Amino acid sequence: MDAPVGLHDDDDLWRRIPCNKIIEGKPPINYIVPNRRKNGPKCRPSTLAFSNNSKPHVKEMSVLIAKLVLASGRTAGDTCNTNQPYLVSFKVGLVRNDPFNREVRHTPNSAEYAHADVVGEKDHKLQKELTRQFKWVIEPDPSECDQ
Amino acid sequence: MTLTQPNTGLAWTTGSHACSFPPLRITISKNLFLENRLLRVQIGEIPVTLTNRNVPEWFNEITADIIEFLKLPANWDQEGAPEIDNSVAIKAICVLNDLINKNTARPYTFPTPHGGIQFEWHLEEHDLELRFLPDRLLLLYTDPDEVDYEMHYDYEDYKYLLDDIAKYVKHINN
Repeated sequence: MDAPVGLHDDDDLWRRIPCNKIIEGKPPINYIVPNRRKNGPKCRPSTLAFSNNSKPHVKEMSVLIAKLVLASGRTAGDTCNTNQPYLVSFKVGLVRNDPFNREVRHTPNSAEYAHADVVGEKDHKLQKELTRQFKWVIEPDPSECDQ
Repeated sequence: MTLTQPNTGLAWTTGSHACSFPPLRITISKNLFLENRLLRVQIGEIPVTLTNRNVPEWFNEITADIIEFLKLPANWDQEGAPEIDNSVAIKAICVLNDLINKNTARPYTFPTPHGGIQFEWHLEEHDLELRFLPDRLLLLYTDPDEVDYEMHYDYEDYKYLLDDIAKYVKHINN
């Protein structure tokens, strides 16, 4: 496996947004809500979409390094699946330039060389900022954020 | 009325109903309705009496959704999420019931990645999120000028919690 790559503040990270069909007879659980900001997309991710995973003793949020996915000849769509069908992007600098000393670590694994973790606390301020500054890479149908 | 869970000694007094912390099986057959209004919901072996009858029709559906969330297996999000905590579900239902009136907008309701429940309202000028975690409640509010407010509440002081949250919830009452 190749060595981890360096990341610049203006590099794009991709975060997959879950949409889990778990409960029989019920719509999938997605973290998509209406976006009330003018001139923005109709739907946006909930702040919950930018939570750390729940593994004990770690504060990591999984992301993909966009330039590495593209360099491997794949598209954004190739990184998604039924349970994680949507994709947003945001800049490395947004998540690591803050008072919590968060960092973005390139953590390649056998399944995904482009895998990285945003390590550190994800307070509501950051979660909210991500819902303001994200861009859809793979966007849900606007009906996904209807009640 | 105060109910104390024998196994834990924990109790959450809320005036006319009580919420405690039962790691018990879920039974929903004992829910009580009157004229299509939910009066009592059974979470585990704890019947939670809902005193506010002035609720919109969506309240029953949201309560049913929360009970469904309790069936989610661990790792339901494939990122290690724990099962949703029964006591959190009770608190979420109780607080929602106490806060709303017939004109309250319907919230988006989600299980959280850390075993909790979140209600979200996104109206024309306001965002309001109530995040029920096992150890505390977070209120997250964004005003029309895009200024964010974040408050953390201890569940122990229910009256104070309700009074304070009500100031923000008025924005989502039509």
